[in-house]
Amino acid sequence: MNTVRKPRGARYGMVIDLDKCNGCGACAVACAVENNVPPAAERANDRNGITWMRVHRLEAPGEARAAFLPMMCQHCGDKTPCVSVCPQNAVEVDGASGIVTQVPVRCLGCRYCMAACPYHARSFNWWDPDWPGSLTETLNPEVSTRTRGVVEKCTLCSHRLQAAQEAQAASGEGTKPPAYTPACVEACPAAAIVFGDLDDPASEAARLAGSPGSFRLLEQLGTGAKVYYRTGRDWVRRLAGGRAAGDGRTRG
Amino acid sequence: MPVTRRDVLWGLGGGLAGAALTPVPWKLLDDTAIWTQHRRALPVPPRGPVSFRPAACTLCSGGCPVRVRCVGPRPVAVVGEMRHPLGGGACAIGLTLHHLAFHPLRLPGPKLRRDGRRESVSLDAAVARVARAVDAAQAGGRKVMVLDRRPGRVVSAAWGELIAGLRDGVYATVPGEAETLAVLEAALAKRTPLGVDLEKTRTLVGFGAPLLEGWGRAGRMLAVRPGLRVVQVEAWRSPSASLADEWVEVAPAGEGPLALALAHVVARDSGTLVGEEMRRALSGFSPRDAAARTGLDPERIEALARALRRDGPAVAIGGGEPGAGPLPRDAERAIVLLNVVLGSVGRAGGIVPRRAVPGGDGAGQRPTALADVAAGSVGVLLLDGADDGRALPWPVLHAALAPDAVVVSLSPFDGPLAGEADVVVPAPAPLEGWDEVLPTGDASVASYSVSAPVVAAPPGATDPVAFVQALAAAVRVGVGPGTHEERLRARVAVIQATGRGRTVARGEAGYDEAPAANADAAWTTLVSGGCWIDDPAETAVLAVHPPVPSSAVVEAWRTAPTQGLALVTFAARGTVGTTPPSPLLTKLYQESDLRPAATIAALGPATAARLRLAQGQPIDVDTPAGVVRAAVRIDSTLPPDRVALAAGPDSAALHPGLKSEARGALPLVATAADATWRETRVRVREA
Repeated sequence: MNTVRKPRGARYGMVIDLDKCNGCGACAVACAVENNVPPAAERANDRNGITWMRVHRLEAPGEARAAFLPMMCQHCGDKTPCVSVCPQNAVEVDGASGIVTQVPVRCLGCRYCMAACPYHARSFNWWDPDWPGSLTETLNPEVSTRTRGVVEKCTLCSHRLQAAQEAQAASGEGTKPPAYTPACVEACPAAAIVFGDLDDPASEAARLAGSPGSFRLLEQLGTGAKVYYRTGRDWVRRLAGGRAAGDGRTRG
Repeated sequence: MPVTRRDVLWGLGGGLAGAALTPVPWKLLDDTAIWTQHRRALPVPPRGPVSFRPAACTLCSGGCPVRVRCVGPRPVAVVGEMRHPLGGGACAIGLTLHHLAFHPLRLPGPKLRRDGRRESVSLDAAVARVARAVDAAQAGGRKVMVLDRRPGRVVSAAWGELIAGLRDGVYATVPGEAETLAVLEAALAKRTPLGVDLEKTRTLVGFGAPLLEGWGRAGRMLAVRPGLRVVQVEAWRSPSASLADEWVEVAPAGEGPLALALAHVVARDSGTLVGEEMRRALSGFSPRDAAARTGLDPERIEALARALRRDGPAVAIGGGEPGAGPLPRDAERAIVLLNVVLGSVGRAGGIVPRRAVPGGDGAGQRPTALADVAAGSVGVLLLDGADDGRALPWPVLHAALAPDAVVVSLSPFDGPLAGEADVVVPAPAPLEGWDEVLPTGDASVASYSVSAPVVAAPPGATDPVAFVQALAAAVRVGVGPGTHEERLRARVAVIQATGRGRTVARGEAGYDEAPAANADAAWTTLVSGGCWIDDPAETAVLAVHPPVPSSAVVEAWRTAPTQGLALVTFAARGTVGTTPPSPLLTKLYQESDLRPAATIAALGPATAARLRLAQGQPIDVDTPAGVVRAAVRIDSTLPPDRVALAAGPDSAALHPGLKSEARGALPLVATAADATWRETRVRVREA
């Protein structure tokens, strides 16, 4: 009988290089494809649509080149505002992976989590999902579809982590947390997103996250976000860090 | 003690109050949430064995290599091949490639238009109808024209065979993103295909070409970008302009005058004038002469020209933009002239020769430019189903048609051009049929790969080679035998027989060179995700007799443009061709304003204030060609007196079945005699 060795806990996160990101939106589309996010309803807009991953454009006066900021659930670690306000335990921090998970079937749709999230990284299903024509044929069976009235968000493609864990358990090899790649990372043609275990000093993500030039959004809130950004441009860092209000503008 | 009615009520009340303090109500709430979410309307995709199949995205001329993840027979995701030796990755549009076979605008089978209505017919009936039209056109002295937007394929060769057998056949194409190189190629003493030695280029100037958002092979551009200075000449702050090192905010249709003025300064300062005709063309057109038409200070043009000389090798690229369309031919000539005076032709880091892909001559048919087809001369127009991802407004095609012309579309989709067709014979959708990938416009070496079908085509889809053969038989023209696959195999055999280049195979760990011992081995490698890459051609001095813009056009370039609001049209590659975009692209175009939708008209703050328009206000944008509705967006980066409106993606494709008056810029554009649509004046009024 095989002995399934439980891997030690991990802290999955990513580092996004804003100087490489060219705002193509491939991450946003790959995320929607992978996670069965439906196309926009007719009346949906940038405030009520479902976008697990959204790319914001940053510009500042006098700067020739714009910057693009991919934004998704930051997977807070130390303080998770969404977890603490959910009356249904529909939001949890998975201790084994550090991923802030969302369980749509538990969600009542109160949207407390959306109000609490400082990153505006959650989406509410205002309409029933609709895939026109026979596009349902292209849905991913690894991710269940969601109904109107629930909140959803980035899960760091946790179904891929489950698949990797199952494969690791089946092989009986390794006690380290398995490596896997979320859809946005896989799709980025500029290789701007590096993903990995932030607690594993050998991982590229951990190295980049700890290096000078990396920062987190709204760091002053102490959320312990597991998404890091990097840039060599001061104005981008100031604007993305929210510490330079008034000297630039964002669109997204 | 008797139990009273009051005791019962107290007991019930107490029980209810106590139950509220237990987990029961919360469990009920929880379960209610679960019950209400398990609706029959929610799709539950079936599971199955997972497989990965190689393919290529042929939504535009980029031909990006991809892997398709299938669950059972169903494609569920597309992933760009990041490690491809020619530059990998796929764009956001390519990542929805697998949706297209299931798109609501997919045409199920052949249709004929009768009395203004479409009705389904058999393939034989459709071919017979087209054959009668071809016979009638030939008898009436009218042309039979094939429009192929991706020439050089084996399908193109089949069309070429058909056209060669007709009395007055025309094999036509439209300018692509490598039009600058095509104009230069035509001016060479010895014609040879051209590419750009991007790896050694130091400055790249895009005259409207979307250099940083899907030009050429996008993966290659991403790879060379860190060492490249990019100057983007464009009328609005496009994604490429936003990412460039310098944005030159030229007035609409000012690309040609700017290129000529830059060439003037470079030639004056470097003394590279060759030939009397070139000297005459350049010496009389200084930056001061270009100022009115370009909207740029002469000093800025001088500085830009000096920077190009200093930061060489520099290459200037035209070719237009997917939504704004091709540049006028005289503008392309001016850009070629700029490349010549910069010394960029035939040098490392500049424009270099490459060899043609073997086996693609198509009965010797060289495509005719659509602009060179006489107005009203075409009796039958056959629209090949291949897409280049660029816009082609119907009026541009309509100008070439005789009044009673018959239009035949092979597009698999009910798109804007298929909607005008009298006969529709849908080809397989992307991933359903055979296709091939030829070198992109920027490529400095030839390459070739084959995309095999990933999903089964529906019974109503007709392979384009089979259609050409059926039509040829019906009009008694000899077109060689062989299915699409057999012709592709034959081409691979021709390539393999040349002994040139290397074959690269896709393995588990990446791409490795895999010499093919014979044609069968080469074929196996190519249909398994590999590719053939030619040896670099020898860089030789290219004798060129540069074309100069016509003197009448240059005179017109000295004058200021017509007063009024200028329409700035644009689109991303792959969103405005004959293939409708996936509805999922609403993530970018509707639920984010990362990419401007065709429902948004941008105006500068001064222009909006003058017209008393506010952010979000609905307006009608009006030209003699039509009226479209849009919502105002005030864009502080847009220079005055311009209205920027995307040509696509079409709302009807993103929201099938939805009737909308917001149809993008294409219904508004004024088409010129040279099949371009870059100069349109608009009026704007509150809706």
